[in-house]
Amino acid sequence: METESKSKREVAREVAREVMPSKILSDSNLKVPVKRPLKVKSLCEVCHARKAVMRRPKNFSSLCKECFYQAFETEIHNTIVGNKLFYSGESVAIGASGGKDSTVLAYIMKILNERYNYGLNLVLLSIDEGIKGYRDDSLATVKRNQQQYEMPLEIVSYKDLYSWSMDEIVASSGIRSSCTYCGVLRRQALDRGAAKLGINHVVTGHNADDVAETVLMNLLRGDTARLENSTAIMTSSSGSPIKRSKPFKYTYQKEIVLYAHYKKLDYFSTECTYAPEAFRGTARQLLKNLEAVRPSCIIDIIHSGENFKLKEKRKRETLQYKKNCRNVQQIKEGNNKNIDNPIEVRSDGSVSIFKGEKKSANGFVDGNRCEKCGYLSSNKICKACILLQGLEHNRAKVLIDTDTSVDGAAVLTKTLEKLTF
Amino acid sequence: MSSSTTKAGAVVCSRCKIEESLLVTRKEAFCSSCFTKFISNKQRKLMSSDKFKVKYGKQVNEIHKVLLCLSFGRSSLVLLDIIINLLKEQRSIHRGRQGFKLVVIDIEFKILNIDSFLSGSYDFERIKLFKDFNSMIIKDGSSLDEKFPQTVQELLSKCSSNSSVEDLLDIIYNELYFNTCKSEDCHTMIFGHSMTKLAVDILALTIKGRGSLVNQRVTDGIHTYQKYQVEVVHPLRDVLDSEIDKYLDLNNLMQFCDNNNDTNTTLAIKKLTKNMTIGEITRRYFDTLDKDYSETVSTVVKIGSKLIDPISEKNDEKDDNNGIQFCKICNCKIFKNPQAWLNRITVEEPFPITNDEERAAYEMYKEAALQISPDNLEEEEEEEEEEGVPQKEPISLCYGCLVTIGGVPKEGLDWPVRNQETQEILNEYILTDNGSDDDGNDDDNDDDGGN
Amino acid sequence: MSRGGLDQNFNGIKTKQLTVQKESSPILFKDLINHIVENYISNKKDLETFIEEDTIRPGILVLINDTDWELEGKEDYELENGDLITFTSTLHGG
Repeated sequence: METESKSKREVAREVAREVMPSKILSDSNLKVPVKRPLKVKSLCEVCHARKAVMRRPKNFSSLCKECFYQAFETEIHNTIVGNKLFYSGESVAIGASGGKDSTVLAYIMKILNERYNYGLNLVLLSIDEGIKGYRDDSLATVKRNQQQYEMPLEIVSYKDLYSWSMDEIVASSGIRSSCTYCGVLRRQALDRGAAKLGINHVVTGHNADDVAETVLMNLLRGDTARLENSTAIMTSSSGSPIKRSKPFKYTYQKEIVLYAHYKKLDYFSTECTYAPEAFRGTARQLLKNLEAVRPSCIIDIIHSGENFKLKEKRKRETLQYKKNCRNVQQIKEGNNKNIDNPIEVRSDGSVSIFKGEKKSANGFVDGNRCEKCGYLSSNKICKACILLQGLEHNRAKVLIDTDTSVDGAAVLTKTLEKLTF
Repeated sequence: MSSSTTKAGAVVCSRCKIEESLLVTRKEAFCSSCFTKFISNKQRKLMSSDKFKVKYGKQVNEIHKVLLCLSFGRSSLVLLDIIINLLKEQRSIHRGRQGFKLVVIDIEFKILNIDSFLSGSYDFERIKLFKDFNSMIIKDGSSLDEKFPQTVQELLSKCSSNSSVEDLLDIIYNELYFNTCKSEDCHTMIFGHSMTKLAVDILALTIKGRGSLVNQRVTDGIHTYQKYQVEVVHPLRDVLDSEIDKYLDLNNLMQFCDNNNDTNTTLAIKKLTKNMTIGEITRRYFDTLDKDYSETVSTVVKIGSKLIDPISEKNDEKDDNNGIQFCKICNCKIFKNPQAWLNRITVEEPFPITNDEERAAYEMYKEAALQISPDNLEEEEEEEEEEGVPQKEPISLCYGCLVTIGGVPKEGLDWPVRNQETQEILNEYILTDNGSDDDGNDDDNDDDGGN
Repeated sequence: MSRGGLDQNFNGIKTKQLTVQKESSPILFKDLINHIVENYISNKKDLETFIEEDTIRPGILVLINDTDWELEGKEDYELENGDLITFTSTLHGG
């Protein structure tokens, strides 16, 4: 399709066509600019044969598209193989939110699986938290991904699992503590979705920026329990056999976005409508500022994080107790205070009920099931049920105020949508 | 923490209950003198060892020397004031005698000579980083004739990145402080770092990939430098920046502050982010954070103080004793090979040439590259080393220095590198366990009484 | 072209053909930025997500004809007829 610009002589102009937001732009829609003769200095620094189109934040190499694809894909392959993430014949669930990281993850897993014969069975696993206006759109994207990548898709919803949607949780306990709830609930939802499919391994799109941010957050919060594991590429909740790994651990967010753009991958892009926890937001901003000054800082932080080692704890019980109390306080903010037993939410999302006895790090019994919901848990009641127990008290209030609170959340949604990406 | 009021309605100091309170910190109201005492006591608690006290009997002639690193920034000034008052007090109580001798060092890097921070013998070399993260010393004819920088300023002026300059200065200062301890015969070195500064350092070191140095730089303890033992103390580690400022105010010391050299100033208003250094950005972060999350500073220092040396990777290199390698720039221990790590996560293989157009471009590149210098060709172009072609010698660097070298111009960084003999002495550089308990308090140190 | 949710800033506009005029040539990228800010951004909040400290906010990827603007001279790039400019935000979850 010709563009109109050719017929006009203006001083400068950008070419565009009105395109439906969901349509993928194909090459024919874009005008290819007149090719100028290549200068040596604008050549790709790796192959020296094509024009460089991007500069890698890791080492400032300028690469052409083809070399970039190759570097990007090979590095992830090396991460997978180097860390022995998979074994042949394994079934793997890809945590798919429809966002850029998980879409690219699904794409990459597919092509690497084929190219290098990992022998994996891949499935898309999506969580519906029940956030109006946000999750609906992203789920639509995941459904398209299912078609595009020819993978089976499983959707698990909070409402079905816990009989609470995020909209309801926020209405009940406020935005601030909701992020903590959502994190705990999502991890369990992923595990349960995988278990439902008979799968033991979930991969998520956590990228290098996320890992670096986690390292900083753990320092800022003084989280001695999690600090040494901030950069772990594979984790699992105690009491659960489900493994979770991050093939994108060393992959820059910027490169993921570029890759998705060049390859014209279909993804949905809006920040969760409930604003990110304020503290983490400041850490994210700090990271962005640092990256602007020294782009390699992201892997530099990961390097530091991988080498962190803490002194052996001597007064373990005291620390455990303090941690329990702090965790409980964080979660209970703005909530009723009916929970008697302090609970410890561990880094991997598992929870233990501290009965005043000394607990060893791995003191759990496999095969325990939550009394309330039957989910595999190291305790009598799984953490999701504990957290939600507290919310039940506010349930009645929510029902009465239903319209205003839902509207309120929705209005907030719209406002926040404009602020963040 | 009750505060009562005088008849006039002013709040009274919660300590002496007499004077009017002039400030509030940590939920307590203080008058001027009680506040000064409050801060001074923090220093005394951390320097409570006998070696700082006035000695009698057999030990009467033992002089313990303490080096105070003064930057004329706010906290080091406060520390100086406190120590001077302490010494004055000792003299008045003990009839003119002091418990220790104070040596003060103030560094003005702009006039620093290149050999001022060196001890032992050095070779001046040019260090360059190559594409596969290999760091090499370039030895070619021209660099011998070329004038090696004479001052630190000259050396640093070639760096393209402010953060690299900051990092190298940090290394230089550290070297200089320890050298001075040794040459002045001081066995204790004290820094005025406030809690805020320590928190900034912990984060900044992490960000620069120098997480393994946090333990050394932030905790109090005994360091061994070239067979010389020094105890490093940060007596104001429990004092917040805001309290530092109040101390200066109340004691009329603001006039002595050198704001240019000050790491305390909030630079947020003054600079654009893109011109700031890692340290400045981190400092600004804490300044803006403290209003809502005032506990973050102490939390970070607490966890930072609990860090210990990382586990060493097994080293195949037969370079040094016990396979321990030391960075040739900053002399820190290398726990894991940085090149290997970086190469594992960075793989750049050329995508094959597919058509004539690409082939033509490649030919064009080859021609241009050969014209400039044979050295500029990538590693893949194996060239025989001939006469006149620069020789390269690998040099081991720690991760942090590797990253910093990324911020210098293409020709490389000119730097004094220790030669073999000095290196052997330094291989005895060990960090002894400071034996502190969970609270981060030092156990009583053994009185060294000289080496 | 705005992607990655940036269209929210521009009242939902995803792609737009623009004409930038200036007295003197050449027209630089920074002139385009000013043009956009003056004509397409209506309120302060939207502005803050696009511009920070006088330049494009870090976290927003800028491509000129699919090439990273850092390789083309950033704000000093001289615009040409038919150039396609893409702004993509990288600041959201995936």
